[in-house]
Amino acid sequence: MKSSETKITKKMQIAIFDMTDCEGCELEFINLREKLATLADQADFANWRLASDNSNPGPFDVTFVEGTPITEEDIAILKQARSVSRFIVSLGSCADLGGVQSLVGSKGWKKGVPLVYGEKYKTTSKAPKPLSYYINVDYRLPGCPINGNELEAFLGALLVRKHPAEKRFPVCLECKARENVCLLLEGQPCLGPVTKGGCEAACPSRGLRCWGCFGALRGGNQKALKKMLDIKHGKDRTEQVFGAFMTHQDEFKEMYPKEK
Amino acid sequence: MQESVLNHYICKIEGHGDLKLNYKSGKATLNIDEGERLFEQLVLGRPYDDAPFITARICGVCPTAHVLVAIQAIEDAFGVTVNERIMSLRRALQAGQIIQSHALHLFFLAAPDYLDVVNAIELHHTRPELYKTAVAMKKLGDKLVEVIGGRAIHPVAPAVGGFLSVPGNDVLKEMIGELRAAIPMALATVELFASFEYPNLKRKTEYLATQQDGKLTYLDGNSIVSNSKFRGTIENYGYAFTEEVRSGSNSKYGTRDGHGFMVGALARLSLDQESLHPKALYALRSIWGQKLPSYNSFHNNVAQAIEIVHLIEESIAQLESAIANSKELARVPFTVREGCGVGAIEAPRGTLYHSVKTDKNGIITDYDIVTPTVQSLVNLEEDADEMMKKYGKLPEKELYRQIEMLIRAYDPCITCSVH
Repeated sequence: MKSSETKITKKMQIAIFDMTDCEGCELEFINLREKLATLADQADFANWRLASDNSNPGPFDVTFVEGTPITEEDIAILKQARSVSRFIVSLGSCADLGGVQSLVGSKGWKKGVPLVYGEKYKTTSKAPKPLSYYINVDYRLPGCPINGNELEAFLGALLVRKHPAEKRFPVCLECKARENVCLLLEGQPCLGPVTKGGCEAACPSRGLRCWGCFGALRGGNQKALKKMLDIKHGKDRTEQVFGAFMTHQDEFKEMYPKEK
Repeated sequence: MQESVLNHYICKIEGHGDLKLNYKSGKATLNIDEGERLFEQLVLGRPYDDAPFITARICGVCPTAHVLVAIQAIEDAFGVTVNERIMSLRRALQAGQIIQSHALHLFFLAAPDYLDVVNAIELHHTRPELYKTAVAMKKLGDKLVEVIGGRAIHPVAPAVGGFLSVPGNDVLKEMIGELRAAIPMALATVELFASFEYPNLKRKTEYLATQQDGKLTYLDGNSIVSNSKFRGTIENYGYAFTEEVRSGSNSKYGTRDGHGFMVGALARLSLDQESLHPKALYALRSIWGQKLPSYNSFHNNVAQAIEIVHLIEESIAQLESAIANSKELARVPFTVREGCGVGAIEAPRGTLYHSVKTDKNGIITDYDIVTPTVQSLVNLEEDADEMMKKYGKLPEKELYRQIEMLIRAYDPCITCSVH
């Protein structure tokens, strides 16, 4: 490869869009603090509604999409963003997995709308789905919220034109490294063994069981953990525990084949 | 710029809204465009301790407020009384929540309008000292939440009965040092926001906040008060205002006797300034020098800056009390029972209510959430109408810009308003 081909000639165009969600993951960009300014020297925030008046229509090199497409506008923005972006990154569990709002399932969601808004209320929204239901996603940054250090490493890789690598170890690895007491052994329905790591075991390190917000670990033995939790916590509770973040994932559908 | 789906919404506010001005009727409408997530349904049939975790996800800017108020509602249902150590840590945690949210709003969302930059990151080049302050103020709130709550966004340590884990006294002492050191910077922030020229919008309105025995409080409110002599109890918050569903909008809209009212920093300070800590009172009286109530909603910016000073002083006092009481339990034992409970706290943007019903096993059978932004939305529209009346002669683009600045001064959280 000629050296001129790898030379960076133009500032990278970054866009950040948010669908329906809490916007907490985007805040991890602001929480980069001084490093955010460094990033802005090397890349343009071409469209970032939450933090900037810039709202260029594209094209973008890298587009981060946070949140769950629910409204018609969400879906239109998502499709348009895909068509003008080289890479799409799902930012956080809402984008990556459908978020906690998916935990009642599509049928539960449809039933829930009139219960919250009244019988007369009409909506054009769709039940929450992850981004990948509508478009191709190139990279995933999971978490509820995402981990700031992981974001930093991810951006660093992008800036030097490297493919960011996906984590292939469970939460337990980071949890053990921090020498935490095992919450599963203490009898809590902790999903650490079958959840993708990268969060630095933020929850179990302060005494909260893992809720699985980074999504199912590929190759994890979810079924074995389910068996164990079924005995200790009952089948219904175990389904609730797995269903908090994983309802759209194959691992979950295999364990619970019937759509709610 | 050409209209595209990629630039449809108002920039630099939390959530998706777009503004429509109708010159014929003189009415401004803030359309809310956020998908229905149905949080009140998500928690049903789940054990009580799932509620703080799940409802935190309503908002990434004020998750700690949702966690704390959910816990408060459940403790009310179970009849749990926690000790002074836990209360002190919770008050400091809530202070950290408001500091981080106000700092985000003031520097990253509101300030660019007044400093002529497209975003706060540009300040790094145009006003490097100011960018440093912005980052440091945000970091201070984040760190306080992280130290006590375990994480700056979506805290993990608070639980029904207290905390799953608490930081050691050495960590708290170090935090106190950082808080003390930040006071000059917080005062400079008040000076900055007091120096901006705000449109001369004046429209009498009703301010609502929770107070403890008639005094400013954030976590210990026992009544709902207003400047129109309204007094209500927290248990009966449903009678304090009406929540309406509007067609074409997925937020609800709060009114009192058919008119809008305002909650949040400006409302809290308009109802009580005497209880401010000394440096915050100095900031209000000597740095800003504005008599409250001023009935100018743009002043919410300065009120938030003053609250940052107050809450730094407050969290120092609370952390000192937590250290003095560190022999007490970090989590008190309690019995799960059938019951119903209400929680109300002053979140960054105003009073936040959660109420819960549980069965005898602690399974949630009913849940209700009323967020601050739902309460302030109608008032915001009424203010925008007033702006149209007063500044209707301005070029359309400029009028839109000014009304968008008004919207930003309210610091609405549309994500919260549709939950």
